[in-house]
Amino acid sequence: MNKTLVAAAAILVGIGGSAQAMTDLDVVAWKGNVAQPAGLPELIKRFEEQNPDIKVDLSYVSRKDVDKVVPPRLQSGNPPDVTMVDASLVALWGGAGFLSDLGEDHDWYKKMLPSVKKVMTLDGKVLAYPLEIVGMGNFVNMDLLKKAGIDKAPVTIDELKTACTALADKGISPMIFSGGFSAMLYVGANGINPKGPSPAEFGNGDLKFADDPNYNAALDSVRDLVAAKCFDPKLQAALDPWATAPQAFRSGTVAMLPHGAWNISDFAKVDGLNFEFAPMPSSFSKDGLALDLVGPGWAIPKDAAHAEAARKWIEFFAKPENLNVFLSVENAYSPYSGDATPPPKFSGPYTAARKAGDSILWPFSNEEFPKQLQSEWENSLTGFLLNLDKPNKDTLDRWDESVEDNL
Amino acid sequence: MSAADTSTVKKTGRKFDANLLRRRVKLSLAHGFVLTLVVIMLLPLVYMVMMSFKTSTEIAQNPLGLPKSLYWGNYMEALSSMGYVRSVLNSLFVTLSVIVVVVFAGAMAAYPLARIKSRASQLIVMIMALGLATPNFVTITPIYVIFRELGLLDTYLGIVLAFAALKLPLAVFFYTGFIAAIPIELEEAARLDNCNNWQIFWHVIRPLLAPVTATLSLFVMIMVWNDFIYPLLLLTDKNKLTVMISVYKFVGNTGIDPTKLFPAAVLGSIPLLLLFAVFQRKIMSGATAGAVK
Repeated sequence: MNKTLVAAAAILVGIGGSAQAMTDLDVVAWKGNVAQPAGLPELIKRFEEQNPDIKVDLSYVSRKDVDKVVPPRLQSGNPPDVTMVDASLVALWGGAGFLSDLGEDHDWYKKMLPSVKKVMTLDGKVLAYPLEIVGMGNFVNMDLLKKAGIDKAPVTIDELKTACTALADKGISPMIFSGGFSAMLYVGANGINPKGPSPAEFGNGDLKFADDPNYNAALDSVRDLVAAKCFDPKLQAALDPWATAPQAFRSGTVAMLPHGAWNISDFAKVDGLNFEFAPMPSSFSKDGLALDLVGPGWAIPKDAAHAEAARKWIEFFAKPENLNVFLSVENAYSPYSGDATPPPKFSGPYTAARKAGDSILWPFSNEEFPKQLQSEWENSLTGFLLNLDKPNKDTLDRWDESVEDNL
Repeated sequence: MSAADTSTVKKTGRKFDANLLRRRVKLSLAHGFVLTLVVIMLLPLVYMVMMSFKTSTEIAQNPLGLPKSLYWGNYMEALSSMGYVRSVLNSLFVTLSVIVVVVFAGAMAAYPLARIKSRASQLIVMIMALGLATPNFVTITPIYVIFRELGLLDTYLGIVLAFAALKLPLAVFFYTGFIAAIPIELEEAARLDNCNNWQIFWHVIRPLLAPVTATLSLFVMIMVWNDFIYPLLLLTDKNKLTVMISVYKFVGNTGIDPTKLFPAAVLGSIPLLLLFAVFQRKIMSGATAGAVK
């Protein structure tokens, strides 16, 4: 009888003890849902196996809704334990004192690329653990190019124009150039001179877009592409860059699509779509220009209820074998030097350009350009495509005004 | 029958036939026009259903074509990943609860506002109208903070109260105008029969509100069913998520995978369409109430 009572008590204590020790780690992220799993289901399983006292509760909130859903939680002192952030959120929430200092005493911090370090720190505090650098470049349908007698993805403006004319003459749609995104990438790759002034100087108003010969030349170059039959500007102005444009490329009827590497996984699923991800054709480099976007990272809010478990979560990702799972699914590059990260699939030309040093950090992803300027670029380039005859100054002045409004 | 009579009949018959023919042509044209409009309006729905049965490759190669066969794989994946049945039940519970609260509270608030002719009541109606124009981002933080203090986060009661509070201005606005148009003599007659204010509201006014209630319910139903920001903010327990949150989490909104988007959209809208079909007659009578005297 006594033995039974002792055993029952032990079981109850055990149950009580384990229930007490179990921590629910509340993680908010704009990746990890069914549409964009980013390897998170596998990583969560692995994390929970390594930390049996922690249960991860991942809530998917899309990037644009994070701005609405997370601030009330931060302001009311009931934040998630870990939240996904990008450069603008680091600046906004970090500046408001909502994020914890992760500290510099980590191996991962020492290995972080200096350009990324600048984005993830604020006033000497390390506010986020960066997860990835994502490429933005030119998707090229190699089979369609071959039909036009070309066997290499174009990486210079001349190569691009030649390819466009050859494709158009064969009755193949050469290129998608949606005003809301693809046009931005092209103008960025031809306006931002990697060896010229820093984009930050334009972003803080020290230099004017309207006075810069490169940005003027970039807009002129768009007119040249139209002349080379790359696309119909008015049709492209109306094209939705996020739904219709990738769908058109998936259909295999369009030869090129300037877009982000996050589409690689989707395009790879399409049977018979033989594509390469190449750097953006640019007048600044004979190998094209890789546009690197500083991707999201993990941050721990100041009032996180389970800060200790949250730190374990970040340390878990800091192990290359775990981070590589994420990077591999995302087709992204590591923001840390020295990690043996396999290069993204289908991205040979893009990776080669990066290795050759022909890359820039996309200034909208590292806060060198203010966030508001991005919508101005989208709108004004769409307007530019609708009327290519208007002077460049009309478009570039709008960018300068947007910067001024933000100062 | 004389020859003259026969001629008249023939003439009248011809005239009659011509009129009938003209009327029939007009009617056919009108029907054709309406049918064309219906087809145009239904096209997106047909496209949605059609796409939901296609494989990824089919969609990529022939986005506008008919599916080669009915591919159920997209639905199987959506159903297994979305927790569909549970989330539909949650949505039904939340939506119907909100409708009940909004209808009762709104009607009771509107009755005195419609009957008491004073500046104060006008001011209250105006404040309610302002509530209609208040954007989400203004109310979202105060609601979260208050609900946290009250312990209403992640509860059905919390989400129902939040939606009810947000939709109440609409109900008051709807009912105030409708009640103001009800003849006061009806109430006076009830008062002669010794009815108090509550009895007048319950036995005289409330039954007359049925048509407008049906229309209001439709509005509230659509708004609550489709809203995902408040459930996203206030609910964290996966078992309490509404169907739109399930769709949202399944599909995401950074890019579009048609094999996920279209079956999820069909599944998300089916319960709402069924509800509409069930209450269609009442809703339509509410929408046209007062149109003909």
